[in-house]
Amino acid sequence: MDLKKNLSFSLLFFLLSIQAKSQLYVGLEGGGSKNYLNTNVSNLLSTEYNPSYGFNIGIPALYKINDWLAVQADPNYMQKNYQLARTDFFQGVYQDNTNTYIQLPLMAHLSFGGKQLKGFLNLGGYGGYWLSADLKGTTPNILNQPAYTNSVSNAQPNNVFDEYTPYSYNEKYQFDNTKDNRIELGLLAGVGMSYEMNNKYLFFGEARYYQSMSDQQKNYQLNQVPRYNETVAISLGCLYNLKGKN
Amino acid sequence: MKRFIYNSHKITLVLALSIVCFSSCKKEITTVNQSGSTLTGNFSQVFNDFWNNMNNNYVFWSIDTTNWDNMYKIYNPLFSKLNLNDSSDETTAKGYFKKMVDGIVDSHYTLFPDGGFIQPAHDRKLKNPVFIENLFKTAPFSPSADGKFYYTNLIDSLYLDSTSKHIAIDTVSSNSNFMIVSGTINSGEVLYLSFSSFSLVSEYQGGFPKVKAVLDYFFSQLKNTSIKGLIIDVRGNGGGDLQDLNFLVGSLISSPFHFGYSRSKNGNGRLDYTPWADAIVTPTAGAVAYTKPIVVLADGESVSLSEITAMSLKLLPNTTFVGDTTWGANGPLTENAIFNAGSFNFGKVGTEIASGNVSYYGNAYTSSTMFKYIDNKIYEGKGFPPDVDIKVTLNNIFLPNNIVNDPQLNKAISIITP
Repeated sequence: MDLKKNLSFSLLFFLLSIQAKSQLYVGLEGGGSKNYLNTNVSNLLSTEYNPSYGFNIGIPALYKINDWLAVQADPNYMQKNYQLARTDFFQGVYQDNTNTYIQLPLMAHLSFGGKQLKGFLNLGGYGGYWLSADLKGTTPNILNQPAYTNSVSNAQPNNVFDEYTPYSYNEKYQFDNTKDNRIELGLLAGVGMSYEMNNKYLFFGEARYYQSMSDQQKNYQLNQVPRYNETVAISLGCLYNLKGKN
Repeated sequence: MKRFIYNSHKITLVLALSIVCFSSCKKEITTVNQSGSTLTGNFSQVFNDFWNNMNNNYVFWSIDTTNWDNMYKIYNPLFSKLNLNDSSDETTAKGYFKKMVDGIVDSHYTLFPDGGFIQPAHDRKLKNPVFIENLFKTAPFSPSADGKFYYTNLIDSLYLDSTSKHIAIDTVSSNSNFMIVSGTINSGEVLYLSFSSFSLVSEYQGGFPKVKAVLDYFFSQLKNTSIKGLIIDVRGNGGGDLQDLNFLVGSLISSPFHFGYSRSKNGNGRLDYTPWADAIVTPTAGAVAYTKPIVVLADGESVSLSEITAMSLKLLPNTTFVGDTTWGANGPLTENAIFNAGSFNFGKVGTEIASGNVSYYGNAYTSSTMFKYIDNKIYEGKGFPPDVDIKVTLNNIFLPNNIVNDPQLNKAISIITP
C-alpha cells in the first residue's frame, strides 16, 4: 500500500513540476497488450505457458527539449496476462492468470520525419507494481469422486476428466509474501507515428515492448527457475500541448 | 533531410546501447530435469536428482518446517565424497537420506533408497511411548484360522450377536488378506462394520464373493428399523482407494456435502499451488440419509482414507468420533502425471535392453495433494482428534482367560444404547 502511495505522489509531483515549462504535452492513451511469461517448465509433463491478451490505459506526459528529443513519462495501468495450460491427455486443465500492474515508464522520445507527421522511438525503463491477480481455470479434483454406481466399466479414459471430476474456479489470487515479487523493474523500447494538429493536439500510435528485468518471484529457494514478463503493448492516444506553441 | 540523418545516427547509437543492456541484466532461465530422467553414475548425481525432485514434487512446502535449502548445503558435499559402488558408503548414504527427511510433515512419506525403507512419520510414532504399533496384530489372543491376530475383525466379532455375524477374509484376489466383519451388537440394537483396508468397491464389484455378501448384509441392515444406531470401525485401517468414500459414506447421505479442500502444485516453485478445490462426498444413487446415531471408531493407526472417512462422517449431525487421534496422513495420492506432483523415482540407474524396464536408485512415496479440513485447519502430521478420547493399551483390552474388553467399542455402544 505504501508503494502505491509513493507512486501516486511521484506522478503528482512530476505533473505539477512540468506545468511551468513550455512544450509540455499531457494526454491519454489506451490499447491492447500481449504478455509472454518467459520461464521454463519443460520438466513438467504436458505443460506449457501461453501468451495472453489484455489492455492498457495511460496518461502520457511529454516534454520537448528540441525538435528531435523529448522526455516522456507514461504512468499506466496494464494487464500482463498469461495462461498455464496442459496438453495431450490433460487437455482442458488450464489456468488463466490476469495480472494488473501500475507502471511508470520514463523514456527518451526520439523523433524523426516531417513537421506534422513524424516517426518516433521511445527508449527507457520502467518501474511497476503488481496490483492484483485473478485466476480462472479448471483442474482435476481428487476429492470429488464421481458418485458410486454399481456398473463396472472397462472403457479406457481418453482424457484426465474421464477419470477425475473437473474443478472450475474463478477467484482473486492471494499474494504470498514469501514467494511473490510485486515490484517489477525493466526496460522498454517503443516505435510509433505521431501527427500534430493545430500545434495543439498530437495524435499518436505506438507499439512498445516491455522487458522485465526482475523475477516475478522473490529469491526464496535454491535452484529457482526465474519468471519474467515480456509484454508488447499497442496504444493509440492523444497529447494536448499545454502552452499551445511549437 | 540532413538533420534527419544526423538524428538517426544518434538514435541508432542509443538503440544499440539499449539492446546490449536488455540482454545482459536478467538471470538465466534454468532447466529442471524431468522427474526420474537423469542418468546418475555417482552419489552426487543421485543426491541432486533426489533433492530437485523433492523441491519440485513435494506438496507440503507451505507448512513443512524442514529447511530444504540447508539440506542441500549440508548434504551435497557429504554425498559427493561417497562411492556408489562401495557397500559401506551405501549404508552411510541411507543414513544421510534418513536425516534429510526426518522432519518431513507428510505422514504418507516413505523413501525407498536402494532397497532401504525410511518412513519419518512411523519413526516419530515409535518415539511416542503411548503408541502401540500393530495393536491389533500383536495381541496375546488366540490366532485366527490364518495364523494372524486381528483385533477389529475377529476379536471384536466376539461382541457380535452370534446369529448376525458376517465375516469374510479374501485369500484369493489381489486384495488378499482383506478382511471385513459386520453384524449386530446388544441383541440387534447396534449395527457394526469393520474392514482392514479401503478396497471395498474393488471387492464388491469383482473381488471375493463372500466380501460382497458381508457388504450386502451391512447395506440391508441400514434400513432395519429395529436397529438404533451404527458403528463404523476404522481402527488400524491403513486407508486405500478414494472411490470407497462415496461408496461407504455416500450410502449414509441423500445429498452431497462439503468436508474440506485439496490443492496440489502447478509449477516448479515450492510454493506454486493450484487453488483449493472443494472436497465433496456424493451420495450413492437412491441412498437415504441415515438419521440414527453413528459412531466412527478410529485411532492412531487409522491412516489416510480412514482419517478422511472419520473427518467427513464427523460433519454429519448424528455422528460422534470415538477413539484416539488419527495417524495424520490426509493428503490423497495419485500418479505424479496428474498434477506433476507427488511420488517420484530418482537416480536413474539404467534401462534394461531386453525389457526396456528403467531402474532407479530409489523412489519416494508422497502425497499428490494436501488436504485442509472444513475448519480451515490442516491436520497433516498432527492427526485428527476424536470427540471422545479413550486411550487403550494391550493390558486393558486383552484380559486373562481370553476375555476381551474394548473400552473404545464399549463407549461407542453406550452412545447408541445409553
